[in-house]
Amino acid sequence: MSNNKPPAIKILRHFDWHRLTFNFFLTVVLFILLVPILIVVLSSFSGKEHLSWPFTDLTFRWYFEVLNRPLWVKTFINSLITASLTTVISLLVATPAAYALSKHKGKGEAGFISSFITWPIMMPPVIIGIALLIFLSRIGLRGSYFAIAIGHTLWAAPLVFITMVAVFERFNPIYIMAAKDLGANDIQAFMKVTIPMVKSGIISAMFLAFVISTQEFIIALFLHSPSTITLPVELYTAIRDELSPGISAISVYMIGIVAAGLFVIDRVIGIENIGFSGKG
Amino acid sequence: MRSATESIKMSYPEGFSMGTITSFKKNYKYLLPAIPMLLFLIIFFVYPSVIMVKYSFNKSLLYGEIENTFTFENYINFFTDPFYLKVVWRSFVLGFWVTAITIPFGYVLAYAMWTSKGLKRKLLYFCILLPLFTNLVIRLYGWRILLSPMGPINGILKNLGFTDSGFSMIYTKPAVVIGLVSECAPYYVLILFSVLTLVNPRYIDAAYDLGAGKIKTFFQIIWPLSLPGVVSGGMLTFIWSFGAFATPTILGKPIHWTPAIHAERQILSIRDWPFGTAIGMSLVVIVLVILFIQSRLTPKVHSQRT
Repeated sequence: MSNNKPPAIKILRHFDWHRLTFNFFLTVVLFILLVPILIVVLSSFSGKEHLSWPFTDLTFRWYFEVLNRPLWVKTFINSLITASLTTVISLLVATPAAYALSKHKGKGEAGFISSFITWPIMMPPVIIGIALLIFLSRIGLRGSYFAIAIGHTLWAAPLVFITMVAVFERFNPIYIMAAKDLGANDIQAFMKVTIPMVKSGIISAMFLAFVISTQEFIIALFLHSPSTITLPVELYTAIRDELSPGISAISVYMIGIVAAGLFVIDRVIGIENIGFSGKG
Repeated sequence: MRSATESIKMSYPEGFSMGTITSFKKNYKYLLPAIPMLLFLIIFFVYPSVIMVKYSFNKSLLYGEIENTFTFENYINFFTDPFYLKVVWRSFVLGFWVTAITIPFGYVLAYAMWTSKGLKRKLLYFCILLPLFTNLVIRLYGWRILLSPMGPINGILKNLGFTDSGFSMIYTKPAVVIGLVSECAPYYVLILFSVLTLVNPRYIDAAYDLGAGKIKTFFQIIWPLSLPGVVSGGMLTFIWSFGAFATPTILGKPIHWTPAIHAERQILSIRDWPFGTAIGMSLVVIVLVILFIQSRLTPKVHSQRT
């Protein structure tokens, strides 16, 4: 996106029925996007055991109470372990690939490899889940933290890749040439010049991978075992037969992780530079 | 230090990059750092997919045992069973409704982002990215609370005197559709927004200068230029609704189940792996056919910026 302000904004200057219709549509779409999250947050303060409108006797107690339920604490820790593994693996495999391909974007084989790397995001997650389930059962890895992390990496690594390509593209190669002129080899130039200069991009990519893994549940549904069940998978089974403020409180903790991740990404590289958007 | 690097920069022509040097040598050494990523994808994505295809041609015996043969039986069973044909057809209809609603509503949001700037644009970004990254289960849980017989919507309707017992809104097709709209809309908006940013503002100025009104400018200039975004975003919405898994299971009844859910049931509950993988592969093939048709239909995206 550019800094030029589209003059189309003039269209909306005058207050008239066009604008009214436009604002009505905008309100509806923002409502559809945000209201499920808002309602979860609101319901977590409800004092009643079972959720029914109106939410009365507002209280914070569910936030403390769920911390005493071993099942939720265990699944939360499982989610953190898988997310950390996913973050490490995605960054280790995707960053060098992004570095290599960002410098050769125009070339035929580089273009093909770039699109191959993003294939897994196009696949329905159920298919990735089934395929990995069969493969990992064969080699006896099914149900381990590592298994879930592999599944999540297939989803996170392409997004880390897209983000890092955008980051490396903005990086001026002149600094590497300067380092090489001063006697650094490829690896030294990468470690001492490139990495420090793209550090903020790497931090954002880390948060991206971490957040994706803590929120994903379809692949995890196929690959988990009772001891490695992640929080979203447990939530998936729990919400079918129970609507309770306790579950809402757990959900708010998860929403908090996302909001904090987005906040950090916004501080470091700007929210509009996340992999999905224009530049990718 | 700074002046030194700037002087280096100035001594090279515009658009110079490392790539232009190495490309003359015609070697593929630059691809070395990409090898871990490629290996990872080959081992954990390509190879498992190949095994999955192989399973779909095997035959299942009793108690989840699998006979290693080559048969089209699973595919024939899937595509000739009226039950599964109905499942596929219903998913198509579901995808149609979701796409038909997402396209105009998402367009308004993408347009609002495009015409805003500064804090407002950041805020709209946040409104899209927060639901996009928040666990789908949590968002569906929100819809469940909202639509339940004891939930806020029914509560308010009761207070206003529209109903005594409350409407049953959950486990209906509109509930599944609205859940899918809120699942797909963020992606659609981001794709469309990225295409809108490529529209050259001068064309719009020109339209105004030539006396076109707001509506005319929109339908004759902005809409045609943003069509590639509408088509590719709309296709993504359709494919995801068609392959949806979580929303129909949580907000719908078994009658709303998609092929993806039936595949999961066959694999995890019934343990008929050959049939489950065959359903999964059929889903992938249908998606690929849709993508192929789309690539034929989509007008090419190109920047109109000068």
